[in-house]
Amino acid sequence: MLSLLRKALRKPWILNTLALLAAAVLLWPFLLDVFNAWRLGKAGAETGSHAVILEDNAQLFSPEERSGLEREMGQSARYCSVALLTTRDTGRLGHAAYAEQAFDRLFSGTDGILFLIDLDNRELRLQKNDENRLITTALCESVTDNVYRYASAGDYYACAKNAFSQAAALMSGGQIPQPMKHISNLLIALCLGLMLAFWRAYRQNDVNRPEEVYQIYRRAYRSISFSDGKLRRLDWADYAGTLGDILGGIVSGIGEAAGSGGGSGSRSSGGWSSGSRSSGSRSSGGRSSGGWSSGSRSSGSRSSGSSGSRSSGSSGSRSSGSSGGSHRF
Amino acid sequence: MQAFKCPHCGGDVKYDPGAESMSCVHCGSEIRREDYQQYLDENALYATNELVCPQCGAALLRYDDTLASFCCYCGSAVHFTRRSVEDSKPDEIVPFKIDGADALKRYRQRLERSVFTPDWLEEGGADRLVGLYMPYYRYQVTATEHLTGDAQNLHGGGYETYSVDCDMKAEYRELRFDAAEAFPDCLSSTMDEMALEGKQRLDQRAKPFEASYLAGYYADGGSVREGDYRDMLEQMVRADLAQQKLYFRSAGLNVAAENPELKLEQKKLLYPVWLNTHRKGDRVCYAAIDGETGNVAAELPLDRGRFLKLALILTALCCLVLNRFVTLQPLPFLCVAGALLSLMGRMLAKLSRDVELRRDYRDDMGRIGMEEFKRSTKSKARKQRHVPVGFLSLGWVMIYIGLVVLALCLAALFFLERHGSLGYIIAAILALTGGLDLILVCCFEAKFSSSAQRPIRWRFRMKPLQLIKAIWPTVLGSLLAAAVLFANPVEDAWYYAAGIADLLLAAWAALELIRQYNLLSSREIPVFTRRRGGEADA
Ligand SMILES: [Zn+2]
Ligand SMILES: [Zn+2]
Repeated sequence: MLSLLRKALRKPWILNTLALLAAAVLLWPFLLDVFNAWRLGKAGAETGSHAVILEDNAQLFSPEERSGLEREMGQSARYCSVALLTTRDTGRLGHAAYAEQAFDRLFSGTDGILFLIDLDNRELRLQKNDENRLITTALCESVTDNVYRYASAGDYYACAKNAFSQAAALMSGGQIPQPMKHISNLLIALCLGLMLAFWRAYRQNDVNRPEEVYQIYRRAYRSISFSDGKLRRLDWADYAGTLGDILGGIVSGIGEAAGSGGGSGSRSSGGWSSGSRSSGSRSSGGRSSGGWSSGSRSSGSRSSGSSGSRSSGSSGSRSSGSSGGSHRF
Repeated sequence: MQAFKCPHCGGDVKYDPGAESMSCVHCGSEIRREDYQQYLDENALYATNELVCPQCGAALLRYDDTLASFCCYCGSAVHFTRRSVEDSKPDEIVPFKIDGADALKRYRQRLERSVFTPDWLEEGGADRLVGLYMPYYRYQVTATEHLTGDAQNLHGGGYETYSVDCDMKAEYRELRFDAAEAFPDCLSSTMDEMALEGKQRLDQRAKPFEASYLAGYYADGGSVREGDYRDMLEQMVRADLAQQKLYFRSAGLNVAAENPELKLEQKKLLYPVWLNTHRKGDRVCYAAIDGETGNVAAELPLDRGRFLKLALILTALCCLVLNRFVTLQPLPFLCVAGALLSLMGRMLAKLSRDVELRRDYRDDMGRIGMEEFKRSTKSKARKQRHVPVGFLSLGWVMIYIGLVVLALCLAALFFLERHGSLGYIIAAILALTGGLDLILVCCFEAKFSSSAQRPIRWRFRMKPLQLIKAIWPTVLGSLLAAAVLFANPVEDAWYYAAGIADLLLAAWAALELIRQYNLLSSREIPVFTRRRGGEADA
């Protein structure tokens, strides 16, 4: 199978075709981004039947802006309740916990999207139900990423309006542009690809590297014996190693503990590798319903250790948790 | 013409009339004339033709009068100069079993196994292969030492401690070193290891030397002085035994072999090799095909175009997976970028170091041996010899692994917690690993010393300029990432900019990696300064 692939890849035309295909695959997300940006600009003006709540506690919007925002929010209201909340005081709560409390207060268990502009902590947050599969936490973060610059510049109207138009696009099953995600993933993939290719090339080379040339255990059979019969006899392979094997043992031990296992460079059949083989504890930990996605992700505070970051995760009593993504501005 | 050679170093000897003894011009050793005559009789010399390449100076021996027109060491078509010489008779020979066509087939199969090799490696037919008998020294080393001390043994349920008084005997078999200075040690050692893995014991394969096996083949003429390997071998065995503490301990002994007594048995041997040489520009790359087992040890450079295309395909696959499952926020993105760069940088640093070692022939005992020999005939400082053993001492490895594990744990914690201050710690680790341990890894070279307490010593390894060339992208990128992480700005653009810069540096490092890899898997056209047959005419 693998040798077949190798043979195929040695043919220039196959390699070239695959490379072209790969280039197309790499370009595709960016084309999609352009298309999605274009589609967002010309979204329709239907309004839905779910609740539209606008609590402008921080007095950020003029009456015209309010009506404009309500129209924009109406689009998402086709799918669930929507709320826009601005505040200058979150009390002692962090923005994430504050958003969560408000979410429970406003929607009380029903589906909803809440966008919070928190001038106290200078954070934006998009909060949604845990059950909401159309808007993932990662997408929440993408939305706040896409709009936080408006907030930084003080244009809260544009910030909120764009956030809701993107949320509506997502709720209707569409996509929003995530250019930075695609660029960063592309570059990471590029490095990974180069590394993998190089690793492959390095492995295919079986000529000894300089430091391997004069390692005695690589080029000799060694056997050690003692005249004292009481000393333990070891099942030590003829072609036994020193450091390389110990290292191999360590590496394979680590590999197993990490669950990847397999090919360490140990060349001997000797005993070290089995000795260091410890119990690979692979229990992945209690992943409670919202554990990772809500509890850990929601606190998104790079700025300061915000209090109450874990509150959402630990509050298991509620029927439906909510989570979201946020961004400083 | 009879060549009078020193039995210790192979240099010229001269009759010293006053003392009724022979003295060596090179190593200064004195031998009684009767002993020397006996040595001459035992090591019957045989006459051959020596062909010398006018381009590179490599010397080939040929039993008959055939004149080759292709030099397998520098890969050029040349007219050899020929003269008749006498060579010391080897003890053993392993005859050719594989003919040229078969060797070529195996070489082609080897090429097919790798996706990256350039097409020009496939050029040329069986006539390109040169069948050579390589001179080898085969050793069997026995180390003995009387050990006294404490031992622990499992007795009943627990351990009992008692004092031991026993003999330790360590045997090293199948040790061999090629004595051809023109044949790179990296190839010969690879071939040897392959044969060793196939459990093909040399002492069973070797036959007593008979010159008729040489008919139709060449033999390499440049021979390394056996003393060069003797000294080094003793150091290697001592160092190896000193590193067996763990073995001794797991046998129950609390003492180690500190100063063993060594006994070396040496045999000169001819080993069959098909040598395939490709010359590209001013570089050559060799492929050695074991003339008996058919194992192929080939230097295979990368084809840049093929490599990049394949990398592109892999990139696309990675990208698909990443876009499906991963959305990195700016800060984690920067951390990942820094980690990737640091990984890439480490590979580059390691490779650059290897290239430098190889360029200076520091991985080739035949070549170093000669250089050192020339220097050391005057000074007596021959005891310590630089041999690149590249492995790190266990302590460093532990520290290194610990650091990596720590970084991984912190990264995991960080992703789960997204706690601000961990960002600083990761930044610190990035800066640290990016700069410091790269320097640690590539600066120091181990060398054997004759003291058993510290058999391996460290010395500065890379030239500063090479070092800077190898690590600047990593250091720069890591510092950049660390700076941004410490500054912790609101604007995402900073993180993205630093991350993208890191990844671009990493991609650049990857291109540099290919270049270095190609330097490592090819070599400059060699130049040999002949020393056999009398240095007087050189
Ligand atoms: Zn001598
Ligand atoms: Zn030549």
